[in-house]
Amino acid sequence: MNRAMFHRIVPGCILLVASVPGFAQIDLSGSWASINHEDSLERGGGPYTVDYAGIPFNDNGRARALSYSQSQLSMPERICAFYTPFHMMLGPFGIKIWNETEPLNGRTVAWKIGAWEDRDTTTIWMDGRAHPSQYAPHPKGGFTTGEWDGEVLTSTTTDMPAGYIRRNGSPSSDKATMILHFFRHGDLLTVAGVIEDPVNLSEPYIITRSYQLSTNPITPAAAPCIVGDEGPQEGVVPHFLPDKNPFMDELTKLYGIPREAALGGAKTMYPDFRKEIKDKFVLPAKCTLNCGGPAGGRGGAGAGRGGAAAGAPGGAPPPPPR
Amino acid sequence: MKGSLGLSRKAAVSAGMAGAALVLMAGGAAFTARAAQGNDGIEVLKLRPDFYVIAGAGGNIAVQIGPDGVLLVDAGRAEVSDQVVAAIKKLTDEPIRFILDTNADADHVGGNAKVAKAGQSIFPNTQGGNGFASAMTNGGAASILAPEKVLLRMSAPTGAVAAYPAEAWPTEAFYTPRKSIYFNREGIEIALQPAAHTDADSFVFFRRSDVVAAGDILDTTRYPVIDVAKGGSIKGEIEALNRLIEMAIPPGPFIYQEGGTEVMPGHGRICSQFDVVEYRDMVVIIRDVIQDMIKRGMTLDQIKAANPTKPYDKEYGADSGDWTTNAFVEAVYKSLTGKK
Repeated sequence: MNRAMFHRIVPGCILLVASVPGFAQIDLSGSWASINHEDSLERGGGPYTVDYAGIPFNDNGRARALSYSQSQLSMPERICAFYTPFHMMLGPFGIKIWNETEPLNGRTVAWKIGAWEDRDTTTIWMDGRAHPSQYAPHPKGGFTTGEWDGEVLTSTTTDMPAGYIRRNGSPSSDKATMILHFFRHGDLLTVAGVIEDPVNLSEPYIITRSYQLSTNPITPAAAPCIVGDEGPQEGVVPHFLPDKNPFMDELTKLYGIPREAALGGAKTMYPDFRKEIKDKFVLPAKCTLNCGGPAGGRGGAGAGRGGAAAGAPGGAPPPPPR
Repeated sequence: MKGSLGLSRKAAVSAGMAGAALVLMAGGAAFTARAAQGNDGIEVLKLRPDFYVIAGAGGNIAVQIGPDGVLLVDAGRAEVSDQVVAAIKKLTDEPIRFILDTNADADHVGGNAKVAKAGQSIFPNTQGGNGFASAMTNGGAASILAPEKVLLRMSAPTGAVAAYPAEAWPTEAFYTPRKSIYFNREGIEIALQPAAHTDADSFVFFRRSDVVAAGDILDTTRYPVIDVAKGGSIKGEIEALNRLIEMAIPPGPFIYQEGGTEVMPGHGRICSQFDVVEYRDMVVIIRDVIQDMIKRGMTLDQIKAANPTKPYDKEYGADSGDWTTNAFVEAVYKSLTGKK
């Protein structure tokens, strides 16, 4: 699906099934608790190191991801670096949204998505201002404008720093653009995100997530950060040499998932890919990690990765691709 | 009821609310440099209240403005000097007093002569005309400061043909690793980087403005140009980038506040310290990959064929132009092996 089709079809489909108020420009403000059922592992303990399935990497992006070492997070220069605004779509946390209005007429000048400990505030400017010059600095929160399409708020973020689109080093460049569609259905908020990155991706990467309106206030405040000593010396850059990433076949060993699926690429986003790898999938005799499913299944210890991501201990292995 | 400004209460409230709205609307703009683009492709960005960047005139040009006059870092290409001077005149009526050159490349020093002539020396030219004082002040033009090696690359011994006319040469050359001046109530440090892009590079650090002009050691549009023939090296490039990371301070502990040191690259967009870290990491990783290939006995041609820069080629690579990916790989190989 190309970008234009996505932006037309997806909002349309969701609007068809959604029960929304009969007026344009709905109120998005409130504390929205994260619903982490979808992509639970992704939003909890984090994805496997080399799990790029569903990411439309080009060859360069994949090579860069494979060179990434998680130890980079311990570099003194990176300890206090924020994630990009796209982390809202990846992390486990809820969001606080409010609007800022022009005092004289009450018009909304901007929607704000409050900062959290690992990402900056996103300000969605609604006054039609232009995006910055190609030479301008890229603030941590990027630069975002928004517009209403009926009851759907669509925001466009540019000028982000380089970062990640998955919490395993899957890279996003400072040339990436993020488009978010905000759909409110009563007390539920669905956000559909599309990130395009001419540097690392061959097609738009699409991800959705949901939130539940909460009466527990979410405080939109990022935490301070002081760099500590976590091991790597300044100037040392942990990374893997080409073809030396020790996690290359982790998903194959754990779940029998073929390497070509784990390494991602545009084709891994589409249903037809399941047919392509069907004969290559070998059901492992025993599941040992993040097995999911009911307890007491034929999985092994079922050692989770902690947090919401942990599968039920002793669960069954994941179903084979169909 | 009238307020202190003679406004009615209602008018005062309205004015206050409108003011608040303006502040609110301006809030986002504070995060981003404002730019004005001319028809010639030159853009002027405001980085600080008295600090601008002129982009699109060759190498980026820093413009510091104050009661002492205008101080520039680099002067851009010769072909666009008139536009550069016009852009500066739009910013201020103060005269251009200094040009600090970060290297001797044409896209940084090409405009030296014309831009300096558009300015005025800080030294009094009491005799006027073509007298001794005039000669001492380059005809009354703005002074040009640079490391001695920039002067050596731009000039030539008597009888030889110089790369640039004498009027473009630095008027104040220095050979120390550090030079400082205090201009427009601001400490300005020039830090020589002895073997990075070439052997004649320097950073210019504006202490109060908290801006570093990095010259071509940082070029966000491509792989760093390492001119081995002119004394550049991958080791020196990485050391210089590490030094740049040390000089630049990110906003911390309050990392959610915007701010921190701004870094003006030789080409490309304005960077934060984190952006420099990203760039440095790219250079280090490629150095490590090529070093490993050399250790495994691979030849230069084999290394090129193995594409050691693959993860970064979409962002920084080029198959044509004056600095291709192959040229970069070759420069890294040569400076790691010492082969010419």
